[in-house]
Amino acid sequence: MRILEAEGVTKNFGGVCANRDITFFIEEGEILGLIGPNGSGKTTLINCIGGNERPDKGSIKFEGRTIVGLRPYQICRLGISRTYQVVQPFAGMTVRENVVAGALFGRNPHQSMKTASRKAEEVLEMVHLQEKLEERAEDLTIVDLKRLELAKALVGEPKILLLDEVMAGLTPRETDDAMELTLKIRKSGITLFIVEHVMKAVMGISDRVMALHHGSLMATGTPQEIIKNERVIQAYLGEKFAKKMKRDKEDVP
Amino acid sequence: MREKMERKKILKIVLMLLILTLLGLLPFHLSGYWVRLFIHIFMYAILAESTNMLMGFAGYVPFGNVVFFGMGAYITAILMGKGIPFFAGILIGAAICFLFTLAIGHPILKMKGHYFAIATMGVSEAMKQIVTNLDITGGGSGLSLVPLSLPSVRDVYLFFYFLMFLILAITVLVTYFISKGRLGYALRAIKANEEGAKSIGINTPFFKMIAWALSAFFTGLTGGVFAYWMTYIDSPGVFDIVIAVKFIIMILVGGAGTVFGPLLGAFFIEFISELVWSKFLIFHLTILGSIIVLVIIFMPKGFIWFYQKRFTLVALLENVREGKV
Repeated sequence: MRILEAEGVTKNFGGVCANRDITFFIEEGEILGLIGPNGSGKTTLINCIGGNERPDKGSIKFEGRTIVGLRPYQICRLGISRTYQVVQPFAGMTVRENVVAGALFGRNPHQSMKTASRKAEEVLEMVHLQEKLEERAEDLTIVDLKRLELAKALVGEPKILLLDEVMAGLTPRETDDAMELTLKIRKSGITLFIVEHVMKAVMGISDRVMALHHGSLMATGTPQEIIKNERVIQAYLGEKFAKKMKRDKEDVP
Repeated sequence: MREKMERKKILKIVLMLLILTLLGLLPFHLSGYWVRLFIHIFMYAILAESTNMLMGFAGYVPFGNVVFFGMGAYITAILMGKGIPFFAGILIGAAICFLFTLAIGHPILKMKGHYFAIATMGVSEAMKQIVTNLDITGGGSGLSLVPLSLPSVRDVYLFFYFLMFLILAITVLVTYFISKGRLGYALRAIKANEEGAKSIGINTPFFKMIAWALSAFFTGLTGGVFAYWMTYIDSPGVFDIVIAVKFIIMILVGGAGTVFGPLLGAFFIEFISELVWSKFLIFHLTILGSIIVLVIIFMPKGFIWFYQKRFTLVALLENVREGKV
C-alpha cells in the first residue's frame, strides 16, 4: 500500500525553485532514501511533507487524505513525525522531560503522565540514552542530541518517520549503530523516509533511493540502479565513487 | 535514595503546613500597618504568580498584563454599582478577562519576544484610554465603590487578608498543576524551542492562549478585590504600567518558570522596598535599584536557582566570572 503519495510538488522561494514538479510515493513499511547535492531541495521536500512549508503547487496525500495546508502539529498527530537537520532539543529540560513532552502529544495524545513517562523510558533505551535520563538536553554531545531528536520523534508513535540527515557528523562506528537502529525502527512497523549524505548508510539500508538535482527528481530506483545511473553519477556521486561503490558491492559475496 | 526522597517530600509538606498556619495566625497578632503590608504582598504575589504562567513557563513576557488588573477592578466596580454582589462581580470580571484574552490572543501571540511585550503594552494603554473616555467608567474622575461594612476596621482588614490569601493559594495550586501536567510540558517546550514543539504535535497557539487566559483570569480577580479594598479606583491608578514592571521584576528575582520563585520574589521585593522606604526616604529608589541589580548579577536565574545550588558562595561568584548576566 502506498502510505504517502505526492504529485507535482513545487515550491519556489522568490526566484529560486527549490522543488520542481516532484512526484513520488512511499510504500508502507519501506525505507526510502533521498539523496542529492547541497541545495537540491531535500530539506524543502521534507518541510513540505511535515507542514513547515506549504507547496506552491501539487498535492501530498497521506493514507489517501490530503495534508497540504495542515499545520505541523496536525500532521504530526496524523502520524508523520520528523527530525531536523539542525537538532531542536528543548533546552532547560532533562532528556527524560524532552521525550515525555513528545509522548504527551504526538499521534496518541491525552495519555496519563505515568504511561507517557514509561513510554519515554522505553524509547530512550532503544536509542541508548537510558543512562542520561536526568541530564539536561543542552549538556549532551552532538551524537546524543541526534539520538534525543530521534527519540522525540519516535515516542509520538508515527506511521512515517522523516529523518533529515541524522547521520551527518557521526563517526563510522556511530554510523553503524545508527544504521542498525534505523533497521530496528523499520522492523517495529514504521515507514522511513531518510535524507542522507552518508552513502554507505543510505545505500546500505534503503529499499529504494530517490535522487534530487536542482529541485527536480532525477532518478528513482533500488540502490544498485542509482549507483549505475549516469545522471546521478555526473551530478552527485562522481565517477570515482560510483566505481568504488560498485566494486564494494561485487566484493561482497 | 528513594527513602531520602520520601523524607524530603515529607519535610516539604511539613514546612508548607507550617508556613500556612503561620500566615493564618499572623494577622491576629499584627498591627493594621503590617496586615496591610501583607495584603499588598499577597496581591503582588498573585499578580507575579499568574503572569508567571505565561512568562515563566512559555517565555512570553506580557508587559501589559496590568490591563487585566484594571479591567477586573473596573468591571467589579461597575457591576457593584448596579447592585450585583461583590463575589459575583469579581468572578464575572475575571471571566471577562479570560474571554478577552481568547479574543485578542490569536493575533498578538503570533509575535515573539520584544514585539509581543510591546503589543501587550499597547493593549493596556489603549484600554486605559477607552476607560478614561467612557461615561460608564466615570471617565477621568474614576469610580467609587460602596465600602465593605463590617463592625470594625480590623474586620475589614482581616476580610481582605484572608480573601487575598485564598486567591493566592488557588493561584499557586493551579500553577503547581500546570507545572506537573500536559500544559506545563507544552509551555516549557514552547519556551525552549517553538519550532521543535510544533513538530512533536503541540498545538502551540492553543496552549499559549490558555496560559495567557489563565493568567488574565487571576489577574482580573485580584483587580476586582483591589477595587473593593481601595473603594475608589481611577484609570491611571489601576492601569499603571509600573505595577506590571513590579511584578515582572518579582518573577525575575524569584525565578521564572518555577512554582515558588515568583512568591519569593514578591515577598522579597515588597518587604525590602517597604523597609528601605521607611529607613531611607530620599534614597529609597537608589537602594532598591542597587539591590535588584546585585540580585540579577549574582543570581540571574533567581532565588530558586540559589536554593538549588544549596546556597554556595562559589556558585554566586561563578556567575560573575562567566558573565552570565
